[in-house]
Parts: sequence; C-alpha cells; structure tokens
Amino acid sequence: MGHSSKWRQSNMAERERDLHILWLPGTASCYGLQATWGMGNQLYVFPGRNPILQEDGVQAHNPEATEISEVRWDTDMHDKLIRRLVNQSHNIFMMLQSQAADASSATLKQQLVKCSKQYRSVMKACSMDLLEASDNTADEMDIERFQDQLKVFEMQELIWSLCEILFIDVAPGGRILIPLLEWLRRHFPVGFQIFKDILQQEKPEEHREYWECIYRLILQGEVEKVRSLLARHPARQTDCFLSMEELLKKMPLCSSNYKGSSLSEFEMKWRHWREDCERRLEEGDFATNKYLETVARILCGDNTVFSHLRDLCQTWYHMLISKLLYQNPTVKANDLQYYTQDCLDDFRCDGMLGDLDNILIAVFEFDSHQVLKECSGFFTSFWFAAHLTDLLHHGGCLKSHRLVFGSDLREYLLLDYAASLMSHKSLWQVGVDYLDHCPLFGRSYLEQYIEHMSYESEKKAVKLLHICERRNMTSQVKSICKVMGMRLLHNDRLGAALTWFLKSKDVAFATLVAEKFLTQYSDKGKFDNLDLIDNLGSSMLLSNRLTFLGKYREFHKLYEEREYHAAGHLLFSLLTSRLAPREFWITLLKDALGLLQLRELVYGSKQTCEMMHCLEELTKDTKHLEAGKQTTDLSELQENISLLQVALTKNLAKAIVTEGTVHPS
Amino acid sequence: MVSVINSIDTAHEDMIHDAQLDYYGTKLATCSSDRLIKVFDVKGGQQTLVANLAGHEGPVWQVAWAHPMFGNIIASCGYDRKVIIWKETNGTWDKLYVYSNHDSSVNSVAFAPHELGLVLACGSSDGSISIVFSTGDGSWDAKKINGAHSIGCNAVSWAPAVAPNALLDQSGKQQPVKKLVSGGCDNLVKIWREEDSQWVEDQKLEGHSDWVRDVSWAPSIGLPKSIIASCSQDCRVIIWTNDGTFNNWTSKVLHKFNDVVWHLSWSITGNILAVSGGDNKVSLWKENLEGQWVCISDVNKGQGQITDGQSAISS
Amino acid sequence: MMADIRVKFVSQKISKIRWRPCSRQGFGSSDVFATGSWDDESNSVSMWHLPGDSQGDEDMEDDVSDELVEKEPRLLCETLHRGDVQDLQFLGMEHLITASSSGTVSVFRHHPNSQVIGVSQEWDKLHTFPSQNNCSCTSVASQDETIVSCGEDGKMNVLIVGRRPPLRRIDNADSCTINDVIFLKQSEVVTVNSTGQLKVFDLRQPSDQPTSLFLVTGDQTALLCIDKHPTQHHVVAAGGQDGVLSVWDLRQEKYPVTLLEAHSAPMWEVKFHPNHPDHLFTCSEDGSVWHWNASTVGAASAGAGLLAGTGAGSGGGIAFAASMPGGSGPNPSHSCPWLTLDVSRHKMDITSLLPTQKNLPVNSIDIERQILLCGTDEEAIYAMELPAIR
Repeated sequence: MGHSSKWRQSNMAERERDLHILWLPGTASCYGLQATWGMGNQLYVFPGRNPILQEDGVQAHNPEATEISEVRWDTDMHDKLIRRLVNQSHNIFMMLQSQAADASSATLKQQLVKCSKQYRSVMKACSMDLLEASDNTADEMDIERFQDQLKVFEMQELIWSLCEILFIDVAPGGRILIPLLEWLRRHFPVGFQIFKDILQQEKPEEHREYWECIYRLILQGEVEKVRSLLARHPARQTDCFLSMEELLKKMPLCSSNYKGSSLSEFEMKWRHWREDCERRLEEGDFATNKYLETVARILCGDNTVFSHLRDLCQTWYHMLISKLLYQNPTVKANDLQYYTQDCLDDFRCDGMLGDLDNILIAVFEFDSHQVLKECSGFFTSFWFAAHLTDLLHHGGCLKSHRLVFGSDLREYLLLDYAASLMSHKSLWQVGVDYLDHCPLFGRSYLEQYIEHMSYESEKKAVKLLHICERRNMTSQVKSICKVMGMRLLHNDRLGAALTWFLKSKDVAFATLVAEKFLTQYSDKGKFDNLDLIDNLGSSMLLSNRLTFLGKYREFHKLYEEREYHAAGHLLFSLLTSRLAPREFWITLLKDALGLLQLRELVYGSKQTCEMMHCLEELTKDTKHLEAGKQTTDLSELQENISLLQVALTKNLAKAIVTEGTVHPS
Repeated sequence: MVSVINSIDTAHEDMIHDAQLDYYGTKLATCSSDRLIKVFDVKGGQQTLVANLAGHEGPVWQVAWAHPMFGNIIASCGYDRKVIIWKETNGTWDKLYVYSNHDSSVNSVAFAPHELGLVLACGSSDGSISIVFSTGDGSWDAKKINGAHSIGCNAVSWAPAVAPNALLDQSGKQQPVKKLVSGGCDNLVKIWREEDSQWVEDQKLEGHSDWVRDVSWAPSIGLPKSIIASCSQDCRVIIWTNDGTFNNWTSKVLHKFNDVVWHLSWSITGNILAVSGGDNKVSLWKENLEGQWVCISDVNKGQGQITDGQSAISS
Repeated sequence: MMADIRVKFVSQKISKIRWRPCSRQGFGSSDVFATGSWDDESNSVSMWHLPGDSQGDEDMEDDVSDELVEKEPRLLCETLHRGDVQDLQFLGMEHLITASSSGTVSVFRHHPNSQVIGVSQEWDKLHTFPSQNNCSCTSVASQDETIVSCGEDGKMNVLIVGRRPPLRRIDNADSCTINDVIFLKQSEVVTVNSTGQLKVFDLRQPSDQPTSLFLVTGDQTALLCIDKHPTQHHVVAAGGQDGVLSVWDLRQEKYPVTLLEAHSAPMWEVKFHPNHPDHLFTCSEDGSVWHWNASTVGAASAGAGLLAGTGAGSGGGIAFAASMPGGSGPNPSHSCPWLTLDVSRHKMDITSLLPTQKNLPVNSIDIERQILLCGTDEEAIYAMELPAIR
C-alpha cells in the first residue's frame, strides 16, 4: 500500500486547511474587525476594536465603518434547484437508516445497492434540472453557477459510482472488471458517440475518426461494436480483416459465453486466446494494415501501444481499466492498486493530477477513510461526503473507530451537513432527522438549535413541541411553552397564555394567570374568559389558585340555578379551607351576603361562627392593607364589613333559633 | 464558500463596539461610542431599525440579550460606569433598571443561563465583578466580587447551566451550574462559583503574558468536558479544557496571531470558535477529527478564487 | 387498493394545497390546484396543473419524453406572499383567499389566460397583538362574497369582497386561539380553538357570543381542523393536537358523538369527500395520510346507544357514550354512518395512503373526484389516484 502514496499532493494526515478571510470593502486597517454569531453558519462582521485600545475621540467619518455585514457559508445546498436534492436524499437516508437497523446481512447488501443507485439517480435528476435551467436562462452569472455545479455533480457521480462498484456492489469472487468496464463506458461516452455518427454514414471507412473510434471502442472492450465497424470496411474480406474478425469473435471476456464459466476455465480460455493474438501478430497477419496492427497490439496487452494511445484514454483510470482488460482480466478488486502506478506515471508528466485523481487513487486503494476525508475537503458542501460516508458505514466498509474528537468520521460529517441545514430558514426540519442519527453529539446539538429556533406562529410552536416531545426533550418543551405563554401574557391574551402554562404544567404561571383573572373580576365585576374558565375540567387542579377559580365559577353557576344550599356549602368550604386567597375573601363574603339575606336558612350556627371568624381575621388584616388602598376603597370596605357583621349576626340568631326548635312530630 | 449576504447600515455616528443577535436570531442590538444602542429587526433578510436606546453618558461597550421567556430585555454597559437594563413593552423600550455601583468603566456584561433566573454579570475597570439579579417582584439586588482582577476586569462569561455531570440535589433533580469565568488586566483567567450565597474563586488559570481581553465559556455539547476560550493582548488564544473527572484545567494554545486578539465567541453548538483581532481578520476555528483545533477552509485546490469588488476570499 | 402516486419536489414547504373548484356544470374533473408555502425567507402562492392520464394535454409543451415527468404537476404561475400561508381557500374559479402569519387576509386573482396571479384585495394586519409580535390569521372561510377570518388574537372578522372596512368584528370571539373556521350554513360558522372547544356562531345575531359550545370532557387538547359533512351539515369532523379524530352532531348538546384514536401526532386537516361523504381523509404531523372508509359500516342501527369507533392507529378505540338520554338517533332513512359506528360489528376500513417511512409532516390535503393531493414539509406535492372510491 505504500508506494502509491507518493503521488498524493497532500499528506496522509489531516489536510492542512487555510484561513477563512473576509475582506470588507472600504475599511481602513485602523478599524480592525469583529464578529458576532448569527444563527448557524452565519456571522455578523463589523469594523471594531476593543475599547481599551481605542484612542479617545477617534471619530469615524467613514459611514462604512459603521456598517455590519452579514456573512454566511455552506449555503451550497440552499439554492432552489439543489434543494430538491436535499429533500430527496433525505428520504433515501431515512429509509437506509431503518433498513440498516432491521436487515440481516444478506438483504442489507441488496438494500445498500438500491440506495446507492437511488442517491445517484437523484443526483442525475438534479443535474438534468440544472441543465434545463442553464439552457433557459440568459443570466451569465446564473449560467456559470449552474455549469460549475454540473461539473461538481459529474465528479461526484464518477466517485460515487466507482465506490459503488468497489465497496458496495462488489461482484462475487471479487472480479470487478465487467462492472468497471460498464463504468468506464458510462463516463467516457465519446467513443460511442462517434460510433453512432459513423454508422449513419454511407461510407463509414471514410469517416475522419473511423480508426480512432475503433481504438476507443477496443480500449473499452466494445468488441461487438468494433466488429460491426470493421464489417463495414470495404476491405473486410481481406486476410488481415478476416483474421481480426476471428480474433474478436473468439475473445472470451466480452462475448456472451463468459457467463457461467468458472475462474480457471475462463483463465485457460483467455490464455489461449491471448496466445492466439500474439501468434497472429508475430506471424504478420496485420502487417498490411497498421491500424489493425495497433488493434492487435492492444489485444496483446502491449504497454507501449497504450502509452501511445494515451490521449484516447483521456485519463489514467481509463487507461488502468483498459490495460487490465487486456493484461489481467481476472484482476481482483484488492489488487487494483498495484496497477495504478504505471498509469499515473504515464499521465503525471503533464501535471494533470488533481484532487479528483487523489480521491480516485484512494478508492482504488480501498482506503475508504481517506476517500471520504479528501471528499469532505475538496467539495464545498458536506452533502456528498456525509451521504457517501453513511452508506459505506452501513456497508461495513468503514472502520468505525472512535476518533479523538469524540466520535467517528460518519458522525463528524453528518453533524457538519446537519449544521448547514439547521442554518437554513426552511430546511432545518430535514436537519433534525440527520441529527437524530448522530449518536453522540446529535442530541445536544439538536437541543441547542431548537432552543434558538424562532417561532412566530402557534403552528410552528406546535410543530417544535411535537419534535421535542417525541424525543423527550423536556426542558425544551418547558421552555417553548413558557415563552409562548409569556408572549401571550404580554399581549393580554390571558386565556391563551393559560393553555400553554397548563400544557407544561407550569404551576407558578398558571397561578399568576388565575390571579389575574380574579383581579379582573374584582375590578370589573365579571369574568372575561368564561368559555375557558368554565371548562377547565381536571386541569384546574394544577394550581390552588386555578382550582379556586374553577370552584368559584361553579359557585356562580349553582347560584344562578338557584341551588342555594349547594352554592352556600361550596362558598363556605372555599372560605374555610383557605383555598381562597386572602384578597378575595371580601368578595366571597359579599357573595355570602346574598345568601344570608335569603329567607331560607343556608348556614347553620356553626358555619356562621366560622364565617364570623373569617371576617374578624379580615378586619384585623385590613389595617395592614391600609397603605395600599385609597380612602374611598377603604370606606367602602368598612361599609361592607359592617353590613356583613350585621347579616352574620342576624343569621346566627336565626340559626340558633331554628336549630334549637323542636318540631312536633 | 463564504459570502456576504447583506449589509446593515447602522447609522451609528461613531465606532460600533458590540453587536449581539437575540436568542432567536430575529433582532440585532448594536452599541457604539455615540452612546446609543440600536435595535434592528433582521427577520426575513430585511433590516429595519426598531429602537434607539439613549441613556448612557459615554461610549457603550457591550450589549447582551436576556432569554425570551423574560420578554425582550437588553443589558448594556459603558464607560459611564453604568449597567442599564432595558425592556420592551408594547413596542417601546424603556429603562427597567440602572446599576451604578462601579467606580469606573464597566467593560463587559453577560446574562446568565435562564435556569438561574434573570441574572447578569458585569466586569469593570475597577477590578470588580458584580452579579446583578432580579428578585422577582420588580426589584433588583446585586453581589459584588471585589478585587477580582487587579487593574481591571475585561470580560465575563457564564458557564452553561446544565452539565452532564452536574450535581444532583436531594430530590434527584439536577442543580443548575452556577459558575462564571472572567479575564482581566492581571493576565489571568479566573473561574468563580457561588458558595453559601457568596461568590468565591474556584480556579485561577495562568497562561497569558499580557492582558486578557475576552473569555468565552463554550456551550455544553453533551460531553462531560468543559471548554473555555480566552484571548489576550499577547496575541494568543488559549483553549482551556476540563475533562470533567478532576477539577483541573489543561491549556492548549490555539494559535499565535500576528496582532492583538480582542474578541472571541462560540457558535451555538460550541463546535466553532470565531476569533477577531487586530490583524483585520476574523478566523473560524474548529476541532478536527483528531481533536486538533484547525482553521477551517473551503478551498478547492486548483480553483482558488480571489474575487474583487464586494468581497475577497483568499486561500 | 393500490394508489397511483405522483410526487413532485418543489423546494418550498407546502402549508396548504387546494383544488380549484370545478365549473358549475361539473363536467370533467378539476386539474388545477393551488399551494401556499410557509417557513421560508420568502413564501409564495402558486398555481399548478396536474396533467390528465393517457390522453395527455394540449396545453402542455413538454418535450421531455420521460413518462413520469409528463404526469408530474406543472407550475403555471406563482407570486410572493408576505408571511406564512396559514390558510388558503378558493373563492369561485378565479380568486384565492389566503390567511397570513402576518395577520393579513389577501385575495388573489388568477388570470387563467395569461397565467398570472396577483393580489386583488388585501386587509392588512386584520389580526394583531398589542405588542410588536406578529399575530397569525389562522383560517379563512368563504360563502359567496362573504369571508370570515379568525386568528391567534381570538378575534373573528366578517369581510365582504370588494369592500374595504370589515363588515363586522367580533373582538372576543374566543379567549384562546381559533384554529379553524368553516361555514355551516349561509350565516352560521363553526370554529375550533386551542382548548378543544367547538363554537357555533350565528352571524345574523347581534350578540358576540356563540350560539352553542361543544367540547370534549375534561380535555384541554387543542382542535386544529374541522370539516363538515357535504350533505348533512349538522355532522362535522374535527382533528385534534393529540391526533384524535372526533365526529360531532351539532344538534346534540355539548359532547362529540365519536372519538377515534387516529394519528400519533397533531392532525392538521380533515376532509370529507365532497361527492362520497362516507369517505374521510386526514393528514398529520406524523407524516401519514389516512383514508377512512365508512361505506362498509352498513346502515345505521336505530336509536341512540353506544356509539363507538375504532381507530387503527394505536390499535385502540374509545367507546363513547351517547349524549343526552332520550336523544334518539337520527331517522334511519337519513342515517349517517359517521354517527353510528358500532365497534363490535363493523370495523371501518382505514388505509394509510402514503408509502411507509414518511417522516416529515403532511400539512394539507384536498380531494376531488379520484385524486387526493397532499402538501408536505418535505417540500413535496403528492397526487394520488384512488380508484376505490365508490
């Protein structure tokens, strides 16, 4: 594994990364720079220095020095067209997580392949959208943007599909040449395009690129197509053509009789065929036609001819596969890496090696970790690396070891991807699901994000609540209910505020609201929110004050229905159980006044005595309350107290008499 | 790719010293040497000025937002030795409380986590730190840590209220963590905790060779460890880590910059640190896979872009 | 019952989706629908065309040969909407009413020839809070030229299309947030609120008080949506924040006739099929859409008695006693299976329509003839063909 590392431009360890620097326009260097965090991947940056260093009295005449710039990053996935990719890949991701959790190893591989293909197809769909958009717009900047993104998708498809072949959809027995050939043909379609073009010609052999096309096709193992092209050549009946036709017909790998033969059988066939090729070449079968000779040399796996045809291979990995086809068709996946060096040698002189090449080299070396690290460093968005890592992780292709930072590579990348989603006004819901699947840090990250998420409408609050409740994030639930309740309280929506406090079982604030209701009643003589108060049901038990409120309303209803005894008893128990707040006693007693003035006796002597005790207590108390009350209130209070004293005394007398009376049987 | 999305013209008449986004990212409060605090509504990509708070008699150094459950509340501190707490009711902002118990400029103000109630800490050039808190019925009280830092205290920051290894009280509920960290002109970073209703020094962290300009306690991210970042006149940023098992802190120099570093802040998930300094740069630092703090970048080698005009991103 | 499902990802979270009503003759089925989006930097109201099946469509200029793409909903036009679209209703063929999270009610006009959509009338900040916070207008309902709007401020407004000032404002219609409102009859509306109460208001009455109030006993769970039976207007179905589907008979006092445990998360919309009222559809925050088929529940059992239902969701059902003693059930010849579900004899046929593993919430549904539309938080529109409806 060692020798190919020298071709990499960065070292094996963490890619060195450079500073993020942002130059703001028009700011002179004396002003310095300061930043404050926005939401997620967002900063507010402004010229500023810490006060201690600043010379007093330095006036900023430059208006731009007091300008704040909002800066964002990782916004690649936020573009409208690419957003679809986010949603579609999210579906695939979620499906994969649940399948991976349930499936046995046998079915898992199938599912992984299916998911891999689905990811690639949504990438493809997105590319088609971008292409269409690019064609339909006149905006230069947009076109450039779309074209850039299309290139990125192209590269990603290349890498992903190769990973799919080598890591996920591994052919049985590790023989990967056929899938690699298919891969090659998909990504290097030039040969096929010329082929189609040539076929339409009347005189194909006169096509400028006739032989070039044949070379390209042969390098991709498209034997049938080459045969059909050669069959259109006027000289097809000549010896050399016939000889070639025979060779091609007998080629073991790419004809249909390959399927089903065992490895040793195939190797034997192939060796024989190869010997046949070499013999014919030696015997000068193709000496008359230099093109056919070149083809024969390719078939014989001659290294020099590959180097000559380097340009037709376009890249080293094309050459790699082409060479393997004719030199070592039974190559195993694990051995691919030993063949890369030569091809890289051929291409290296032109200085064309770049990041993409490094990534592909890592793929061929089966260093999945390195592949993913390179990808996450190379591509600007984390989408690709995160999803590919996750797929490979479930396929068991990643040694999931715990890294120093606390968790594994998969979680690291998923967190980064989720962060870019959480920074988006709308896509945060998708981000939540990703955070759910980050076992170590996901939950606390989610808690922080949710804490800071704004909710203007109740609908959004309900959605956030549901997200928190499902995950048992109790402190966030409390927080949301509290903020909603407080907001409504500030807006004088007492009833609505109460529903939020009831939901979070916030005793303190439920009590507060109940007290406000009672104050309202004391001030206005009526309740405003009867539809709520009358129907509290069991939730009134949350707070004493609330229970009192509910019971008090019950009292009113009983009174209205003329159930005076029941009403009276209720009132009495409210007073004596001390459920009623002290400030409200006078109101209760005033209500009692009405009952005391009825003809029938509601309160017995004992009860009356108790009520007189209450009144006494209240009288003593009011002396302390004097400071807060205006004189008119106070006199009214004293008037009420006197009235009550009289009424109670009368009632006591009546009660004693009634109770003492013996009724004749 | 980093890009500038928007610009807000604050119309301050002098240098801006601080800008803070509220809890939900919908409002931005800025303060300046022009003695004003301005509040902007930054929802939906718009920026509209909603309030001008005048009350300080000198440059205002810092602003802080309280948790929204208390309503819209801002605290500001300034050269005039005052800390003013402002509250919004029905669209208008008014002073809620003025704390003027310091002998010189108050340099830093920070609200405590909401689990501790409506509490804030402020550090002053007179070397002391005050913890100001609302008693619940509309009045306020304060505790002072005198002589916290000789010469002056430059920055204060609260610890997150919940830590995974927080102490459990008798009822089995987690007690909120009541600690704060401060940095001062004595080159020290100090951690304070509340003991028997008094604030005492918990730790003294030495590592800087010049005035400590800013400190920030990282939000807790579910690991038992605690992290504090500090920056100093000595051009260094130090990361202090407490792994949660013993009460000792290890330090690591993040980087030595080319110039004074005066401000740093953690992202809400505590994984990225933004550092601002005299070299006219704001740099973002993140812990990589190997636990090393590295500066993060988006550069495609071979596609290094330098655009002129609006912004330049150099690699 | 396999449904043919078409999906389109539209890069905006859909909060409301509505079929455009058919023209009065009722020929053919509607193939145009509107959507409203929410929770984005800028939200929009859009009009879409759903291509018919085999015959294709003359209007379409699609040159894409892909079968699936041809059948996808196609955007006709869209326009910006200030604030989240909290509700969306068609007013005739050409007008749309929206309720916004900014408290505004807007009427949009869609010009089918030029395929342009724009605001034709707006009542700005109809719903407000005293402070600077936004107060959502949560729902609108319309009958002829009258529009009723309600919001988080507990107010109800009666508006006339074309007239600037509201006809009537009921300031204290509710002490809590009103979540949904529909017209029952010409001047009667019914609302549901966040404490789980159903209120009927007669707009002809000068009083601001509801004429009747219904609730689920002891429960404070919010009701989020309501729909009325297409032919028997005294029957309404409501969905709650706990995912429970409740059926009410408004002629009876106070309590629901049936409670069915349905979804495991807030139910956002409930819809009776306009032509086949034995079919009901619900969608929820749990990401599922259910089709409730009561046509298999036979004729009504006579009289009142135990009325119960079975919810397939949690596997449990709640048997709920009938309301007033002596309140006999409806005349058997006008029976409505929704009011007479008997758990022991008939299990209602309940189907979950979306493929499983749907995670993100479905906010809105609408049904017309055979095709059910869904708008979801995964920024997708689903159009499902349901062959099995009668």
